[in-house]
Amino acid sequence: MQQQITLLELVDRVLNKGVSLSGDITLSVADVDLVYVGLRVLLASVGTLEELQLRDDT
Amino acid sequence: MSDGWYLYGVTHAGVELGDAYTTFDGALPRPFLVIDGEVAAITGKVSLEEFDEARLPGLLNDPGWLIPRATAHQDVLERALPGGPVVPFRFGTVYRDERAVRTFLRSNAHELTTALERLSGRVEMGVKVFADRDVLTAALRDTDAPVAELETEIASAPEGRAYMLRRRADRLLDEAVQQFEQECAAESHAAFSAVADDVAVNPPQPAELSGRSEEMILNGAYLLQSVEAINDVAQELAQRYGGSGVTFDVTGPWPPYNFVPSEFA
Repeated sequence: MQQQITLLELVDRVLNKGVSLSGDITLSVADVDLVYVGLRVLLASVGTLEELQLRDDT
Repeated sequence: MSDGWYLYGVTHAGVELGDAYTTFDGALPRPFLVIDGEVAAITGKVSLEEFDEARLPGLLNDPGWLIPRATAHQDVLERALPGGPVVPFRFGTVYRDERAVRTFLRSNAHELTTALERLSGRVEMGVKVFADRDVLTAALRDTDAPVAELETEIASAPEGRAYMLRRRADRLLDEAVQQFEQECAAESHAAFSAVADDVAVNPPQPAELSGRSEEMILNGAYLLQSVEAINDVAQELAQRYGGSGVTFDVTGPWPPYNFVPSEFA
């Protein structure tokens, strides 16, 4: 359980915070609309997360 | 297909990283520094085929692609932290070439240096406060004076009147729970803020994202010099609110994602 929260916390920070620029860059997540909404739905699937963690552990 | 320059973050030019980066192994490229004047970009070369604007929305919604890469991004920044302050970039910032990275560093040198000075010797800690509504409701049923009075009245009231009073008591209890949560969140935030140099309050995550049945009543980030100070405050608050079903999750130290200069946020 703790591991999942940490993972969610990480994604929450790494994807939603930090320096976000536009201009002379070819790509920025900030330009992609509604990313978070889709992500939220995906992350709600605990099975997917557990599967990924297992894969990471092996 | 040519390479892009993925930007993890910015740090001081003179930073000593030891083998922090040579030993990095993750789903994003091994980082290296691009130094310009007093500041240095922590970058890595990625394939522009992979980090393509058209493909990105799909990739971001694929946890098999995203989670290892988001973890790698975090890992790179975490490895930089012992060397000195870091201005973290958001995941997925890619420049076309080295010249564009240097242009960014040069034209924002003053803002970046100022930000690094402000972040020097400080870390970001995250605090999420959760309330277990069932425990809190049960606790307030016993302790909330207006509700307790109604309960006494209900016990000796005739059936019809008892039904009316019950509905009123339930409504009062709901209000008391919400008021308690608001006050607890405000007081907790004030207590954490008192030991912090800067604060950021983010919207509480819904249960589907937090993965917990409890209600998230505070989602705060605090910039501070002492990790112990925030742990002490969390412990005090946990003792005070523990009987009411409130728990405090402290995470960190994090790279200061929540405290980048406002002109870059």
